[in-house]
Order: sequence, then structure tokens, then C-alpha cells
Amino acid sequence: MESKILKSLPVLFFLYHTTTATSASPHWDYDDPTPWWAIEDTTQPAPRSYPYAECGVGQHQSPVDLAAVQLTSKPLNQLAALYGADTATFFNSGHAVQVNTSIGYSGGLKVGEETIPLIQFHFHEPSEHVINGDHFPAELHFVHINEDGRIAVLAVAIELGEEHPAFQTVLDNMPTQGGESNADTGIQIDPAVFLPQQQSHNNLEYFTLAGSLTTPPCSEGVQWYLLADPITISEAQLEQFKSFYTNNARPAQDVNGRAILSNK
Amino acid sequence: MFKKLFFAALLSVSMLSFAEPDKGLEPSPIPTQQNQPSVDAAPQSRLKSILSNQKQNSAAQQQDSNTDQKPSMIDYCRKHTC
Repeated sequence: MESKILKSLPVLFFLYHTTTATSASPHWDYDDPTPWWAIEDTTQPAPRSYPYAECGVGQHQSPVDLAAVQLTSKPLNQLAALYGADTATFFNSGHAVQVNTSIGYSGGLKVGEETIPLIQFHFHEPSEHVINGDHFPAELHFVHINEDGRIAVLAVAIELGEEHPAFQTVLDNMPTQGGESNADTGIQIDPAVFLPQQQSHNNLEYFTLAGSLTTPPCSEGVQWYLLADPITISEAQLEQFKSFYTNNARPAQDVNGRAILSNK
Repeated sequence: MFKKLFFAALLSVSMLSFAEPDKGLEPSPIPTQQNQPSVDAAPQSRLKSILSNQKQNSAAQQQDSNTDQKPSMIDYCRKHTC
């Protein structure tokens, strides 16, 4: 009997590791009536696992209605977007159109003396941050992650107006299926072209507040930097954008006493 | 007489127990456990101990990966919208 158990140990270990190691994040959607926090990871054994619980219990969630946050102007760290041309990977994440930077890309967001590398940028339609409940047509998020895992997101509001040539490049090279990426174009994109051109990129005017990822798992500890000026895309570009995703914006979350600081 | 019967029964149970390892294709583990508490106890507790250690190691690895978020968070945000 002992030998029987010993013989079955490799099988047991294999089963144990496959059930723990291959469990993927459970599916979520903007249209799903189930709140994100209530989505259960059914691949995990008891006790029940709710990997997106922070979406419900978090107290510093994003986005927010900027009109509901107390605004304080004060001297803040200088903010500089030190981006440069990069070979873009066009990635349809299944929830947004996204551009990933290449491995080892040196561009980043300089906050004071610290530079946080740019990992990707993506687009939401309509905007996630609102003012008095009013959305912008779209919103761009530059996602930066530091060596220690801290996240800073630079958000740019998008209005309708002049066509944006680089945004057209993103749309034209974006895979149509969620989960697919297009890394073989060799196209170079400088993320800085998505910044408001009326601002100095070495000294941006911004609002900042503590928040979270706006998608599951809604992890908090994200520092948000919202630029004071928007960029523009054309109406035709917005329509083309909506053919990928529309209403991929999380509703505004409770402010819970947070303040927003401005360097203006 | 009663004692002889008792010892005879005990002996037959013991012999069955020793004969059990040869029954390699016994289908149901539950009767085996009932018949052989002394034989099964050691490997079962060893198995539980090993599995428990595996779980602890796995939890420790998860804690380590949480502490060092660089690869996981960067990788996650390349594959998800964040």
C-alpha cells in the first residue's frame, strides 16, 4: 500500500501544481451585470476566492469625478514626460486598444528626481474621469511601472477636433481580435506625440491624486497625473475607435475624502 | 475457548493486513483504510505533511512574488489594460 501511495505522489504533485499554477484571472466585462468585486475564481479550491474584491472594498478607487474632489494648488514635483521613439507593439487586450513599449525602452515619466519607465498606453471611450458627470469623448492612459512595482498613470483627455496622425497609425495596425498583438510592423512611434503640444513636456501642468487601476483587480497605490490640456482626434477616428471598443470606461468612484493637488 | 476464537480472528486479520500490499489493484481506498489503520497511517500522514509543505512553499513563493512586484506587475500590464 505504501508503494502505491509513493507511486501516486508524482501524479498528486502534478495535479496540485497544475491546479494552482494554471489558474488564470477570471473573465470580467464592462457590460457584465455582476459587480467586479463579486466575480469568483472558480478554479480555486475552497475557501472561495474573489480576486477582484478590491474593486468593491477599496477606498481609493479610480476614476473619480474631478468636480467632487477638493482641489488644492501648491508647489509640487516637476513632471516631465521623457519619451522617445520606440518600435511599437499594437495589442488588442480584449478590453481596450493598447500600445506596448519594447522591452528595455528607456522612456518614462520623471517625477521630481525619479523616472518611472513607460510600459504601455491605452485608450478608453468615453473618458473615465469626468467633470460634474460629463465625459470627454475619450481618454488616454500612459502606464508607468517602477522597479519596485509602483504604478504612475499619466492621463490625457481627448476631445474631438483635428485628426491625430499617430492615433490613426494605432487604429490601422490594431488587431481586430481581443488578445492578439501586432509586433512585426517595425513602426516607430514616439508616445510624446500623444501629449498636448501646447505644454512643455519637461514641465507639465497637472493634477494629481491617489487612486487605483481602473480595471480588475483595481489595485490601489496608483498615483494619477491628469494633464490640464486635452489632445484631439477627429470624429471619424472616434468612430473607427468605437468599432474596437465602446463604453470601456469604469464609472466614477467615491472620492472618500481624497484631495487633488495641482501645480498650476 | 473464547480466547482461542479471539486470537484466531486477530491472527486472520493480521494476515490479511500483511497480504494487503500485494493487492496492488484494489479499487476502493476506503475499505483498505478501514481494514489497515496501522499500515496506512504512516504514509498518509507523510503524504499530508508533504502536501502541507508544498502548500506552504507555494504560499511563500506567492509572498515573494508579491514582495518583488517588478516582473509580475510589468508583465501583467503588458498583457492586460491595467
